[in-house]
Amino acid sequence: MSADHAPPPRSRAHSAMALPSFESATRSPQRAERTPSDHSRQRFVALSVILTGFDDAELWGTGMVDPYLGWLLSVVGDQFTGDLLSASQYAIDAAKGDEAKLEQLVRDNILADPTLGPIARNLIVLWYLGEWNQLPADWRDAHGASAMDQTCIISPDAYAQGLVWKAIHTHPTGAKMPGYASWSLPPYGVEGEP
Amino acid sequence: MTMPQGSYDAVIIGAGPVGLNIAKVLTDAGKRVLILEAGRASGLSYDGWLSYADTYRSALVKEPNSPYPPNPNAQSTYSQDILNIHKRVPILSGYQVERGPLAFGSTYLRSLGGTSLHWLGTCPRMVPNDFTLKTTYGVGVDWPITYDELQPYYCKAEWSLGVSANKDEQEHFGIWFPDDYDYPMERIPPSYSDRVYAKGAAKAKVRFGEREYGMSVASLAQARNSIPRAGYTLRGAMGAQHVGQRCEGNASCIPICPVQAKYSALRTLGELDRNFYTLVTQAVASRLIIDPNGRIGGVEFKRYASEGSSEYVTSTVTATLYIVAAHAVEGAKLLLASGAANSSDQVGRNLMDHPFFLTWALNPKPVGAFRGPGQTSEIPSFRDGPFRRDFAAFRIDLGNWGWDIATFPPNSNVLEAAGANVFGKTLRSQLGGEIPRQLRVGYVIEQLPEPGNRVTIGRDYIDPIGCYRPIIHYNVSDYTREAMVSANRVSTALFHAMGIDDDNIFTKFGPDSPGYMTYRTRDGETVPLSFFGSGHHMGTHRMGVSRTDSVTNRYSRSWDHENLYVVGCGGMPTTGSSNPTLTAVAMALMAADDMLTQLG
Amino acid sequence: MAITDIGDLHRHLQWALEVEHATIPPYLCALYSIPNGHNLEAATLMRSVVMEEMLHMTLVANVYNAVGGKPRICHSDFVKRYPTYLPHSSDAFEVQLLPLSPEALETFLLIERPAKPHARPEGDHYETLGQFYEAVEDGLKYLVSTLGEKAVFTGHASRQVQPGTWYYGGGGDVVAVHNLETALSALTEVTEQGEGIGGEIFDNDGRFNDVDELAHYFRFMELRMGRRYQATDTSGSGPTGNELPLDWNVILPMRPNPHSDDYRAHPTIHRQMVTFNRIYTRLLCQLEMAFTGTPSALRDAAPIMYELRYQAEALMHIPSPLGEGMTVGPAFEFDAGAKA
Repeated sequence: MSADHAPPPRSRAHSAMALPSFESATRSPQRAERTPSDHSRQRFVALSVILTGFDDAELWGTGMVDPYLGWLLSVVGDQFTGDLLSASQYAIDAAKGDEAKLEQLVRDNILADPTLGPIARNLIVLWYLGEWNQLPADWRDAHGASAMDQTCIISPDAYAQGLVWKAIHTHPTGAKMPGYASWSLPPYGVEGEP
Repeated sequence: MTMPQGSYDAVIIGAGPVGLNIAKVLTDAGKRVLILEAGRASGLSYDGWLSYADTYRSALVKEPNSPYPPNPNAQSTYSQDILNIHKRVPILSGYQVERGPLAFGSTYLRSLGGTSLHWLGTCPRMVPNDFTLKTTYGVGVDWPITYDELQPYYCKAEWSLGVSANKDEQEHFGIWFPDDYDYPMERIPPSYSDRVYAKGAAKAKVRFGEREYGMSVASLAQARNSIPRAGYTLRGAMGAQHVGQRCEGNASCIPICPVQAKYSALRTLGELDRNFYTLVTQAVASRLIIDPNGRIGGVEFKRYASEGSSEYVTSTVTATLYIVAAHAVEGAKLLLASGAANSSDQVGRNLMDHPFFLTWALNPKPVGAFRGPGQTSEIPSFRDGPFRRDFAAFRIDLGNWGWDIATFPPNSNVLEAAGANVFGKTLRSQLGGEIPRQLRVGYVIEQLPEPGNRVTIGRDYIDPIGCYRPIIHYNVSDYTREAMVSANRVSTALFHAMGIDDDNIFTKFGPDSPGYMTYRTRDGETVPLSFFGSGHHMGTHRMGVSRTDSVTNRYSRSWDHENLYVVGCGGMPTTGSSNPTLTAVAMALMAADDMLTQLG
Repeated sequence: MAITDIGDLHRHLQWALEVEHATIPPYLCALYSIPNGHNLEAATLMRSVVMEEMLHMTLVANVYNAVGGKPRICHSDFVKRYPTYLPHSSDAFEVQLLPLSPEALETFLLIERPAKPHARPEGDHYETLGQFYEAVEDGLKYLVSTLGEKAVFTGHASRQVQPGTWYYGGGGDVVAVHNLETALSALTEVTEQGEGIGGEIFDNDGRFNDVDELAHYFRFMELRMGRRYQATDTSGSGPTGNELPLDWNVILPMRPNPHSDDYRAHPTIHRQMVTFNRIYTRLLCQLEMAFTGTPSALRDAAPIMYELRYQAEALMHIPSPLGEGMTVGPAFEFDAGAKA
């Protein structure tokens, strides 16, 4: 096993103090608090491509890259976000374009990781449903919990941009209306009358 | 908003589709009307409506009342309140106190416009035999009116609500229309999945007793905008008439049509002549005052200043006629609290819903789940027939929203898959391969009037402004349970005829299912069943031919107080299998003619 | 006289379709650069104009069909590459695909600029839309007076899009055309909604609160000046009514005049642009079907318009690797591969 298969360096020296603090509980959880750097945006999109199965243009097209990365930075903090992005960058570099290998690396180094796994699974749900689920109790116990770590749809736009609706070839209910009689047309992947 | 002054020809309690349609008739005739509404005046501005739509989008649980902000002073039932009733354990936590033994899983909305803000808009007429259930099939009771007598009011109600349908597709089991009549708008186009069903239904057969029944798919009459027929003026969104001129396929009819292409009573409110009515919102009617001569002499109501505070002012208003149009549950509460109209002891009793029984399956090919209105077609084949001697009638709704409330897709699928570390292209294709094939059939089942199913009130259950909370006692009889077993047989026959094998039928009921219960069939087999509420509260102040066993006469006029009308779905003696709003509005329009006669 | 035979008339009506259509991509770019939920008043105003441009195409198609013509829409020639001069204009200004901006609005004002009174219609290279339509109206009247109404209005009634059926959601309605009177009334609707008549801001019925009661020129003037017109305003006074709030900071910074070829080196972006172009092409072909004998095909054009919108909105959000701080935007190119 070559050196580039070694797990990425990662700081474990985090505590609740490493998380951003919040002045007031009344601040709207709907708004992303942070403006991410271009570098982290690119790495965040690269990770999101792997987790969602949608390509970078599709993800940017939702307009949710910045809100979701901002959300992540606000809720789990710079440290864990950085660790997660480093882990995915490592997997991408190590896989050298081999998709099966990339998938295995993501399983082993991210999803199976007790710290990064819950965040990654939450990120999948966030992209697909616009919903953030409160991190598991043991995660919160181990790493401290942000006041923003609450189960919610993070904004009306997040709901409307949920990738699940694209995946199932329709539109979000109550948003992106498809027009009169659209329901009468053959669905995606089917031609002509039943 | 000013407080009401002076005397009125009529005071209407409740600004929903029933109350406001009566207000329309009375004000059109130049009568002065006061309308009391317990909920807020909101939804009238286009911006306000858009904010409701955004509330829906950001709601974690998209249940029927989710777009509409909670109001502690005029509470509504939320489906979360009742989803988890356990056997024989009363639920006291929600607004609606559930005494059981089964949960009454239906909600309504106390806000300007009433439950028409979140209804689906389905508008089938009742079939003639629904009005003569006792005479024809020996069960339930007869109505004091026949289909033929209600027929002209059905026509008026369909134009008032703005119903889209083709009449030649609605002539089920003796339903008839005048030759010169047609619905105000063309039918809503059937969904692709309706046509998948239709192909299978044409071959499906099921036997009950001596008789074999076939099935056919028909377009569903519904109060949402399509192409107008001559003489009908389309009505779009409040404050933005260009919006909502057609159903735009938002697929969120329940709980909110973002473009207001679906009828809500706000439209009718917008059409009232301002010179003839006064609307007072945040005004909860708390008591009808009965004069010594037996007439109603006033309405006492509590006006709260805001949702944020339980402070209120009590006032009384008088009028010639008093019209309770406050919903089957709220209206019964008001009558019970007032000791009014109840010499028959029928007020609050005979509470009925259409228990909603579901079956679900995966079609071999995509049907396009989650497209279009909640349902666009039905199978009317079991709305009437000799089987009604043995079990309840049902109307079969063909859902357009996948497995919908049966399993809550697509959220449940995403959460489950992500939890199992399914990700990336596998996740995307797994969801895309399955959910568009989801089929869900809903059975809107008749329920008979039973005195033990009832709304009561008690001093222990009071809301923040000192009004009673409803206490619900509810069960489902064997007549309806047997219909569920029959519905399941219909479902299997239908799915098989569509080419779906048993491995792709996913209908399953367990103790965690909403409305879970078991039933011992006539063959002695014990089967699990489950049902949802339809939100069709009926029967709590039924009309009848005799003052001894009904609350009102055929004109919804109280037997006990000649200037009191109790209108709405609560007046229905039996439920048939038709969603009740259209019938309730037709009954209200019939009542309104009687009111005009009284007023002279 | 610009139009002296039926051939001239057909040619002009085909041009009219091209002109009406050529305004739609720039208007849509302005509209879709407004992110969802922002600048609602401005978005409503822009959308109302686009809806009416669609109506104008339908009205022109009805006139064209009524005089025995055959609209051609589903064709690469029909689509211009931006920046472009308006088809058959005097080439006084170029039209670009831009996000909503003062610059874009200046162009829109030029497009919808009212005709100078007594400007003479010419055979081609029209200075204003009003002048162009005046030529069409003159030609229609001339042909009817020389050939007779029956010889001019030879089109089958079944080719007409009927009022109250497939057009909805915007101001005005379709006019079914079968004689000179209905043809003129259809064309009047086009010019009244466009640049207005004789410098009047409002129609006579005094419903000045409805967005669709203002000619497009004046609606764009409201956006440009950030103020609504009120009843006492004249075309000289400009708008002096309520403020029309417009937050320019939220406008999505689309790179001007997108072309899919520019993104060949960026396959994921290129794919999204091609997707858009195919939806756009399907829409044009669906419209041609509706305007060439199957009016009910308009029903299924509406879902394609929504598809177009959502794809455009996505492209408006994708950062462009070709311009710092800019996004990609829709190209509105004809894609022969999508022609079903």
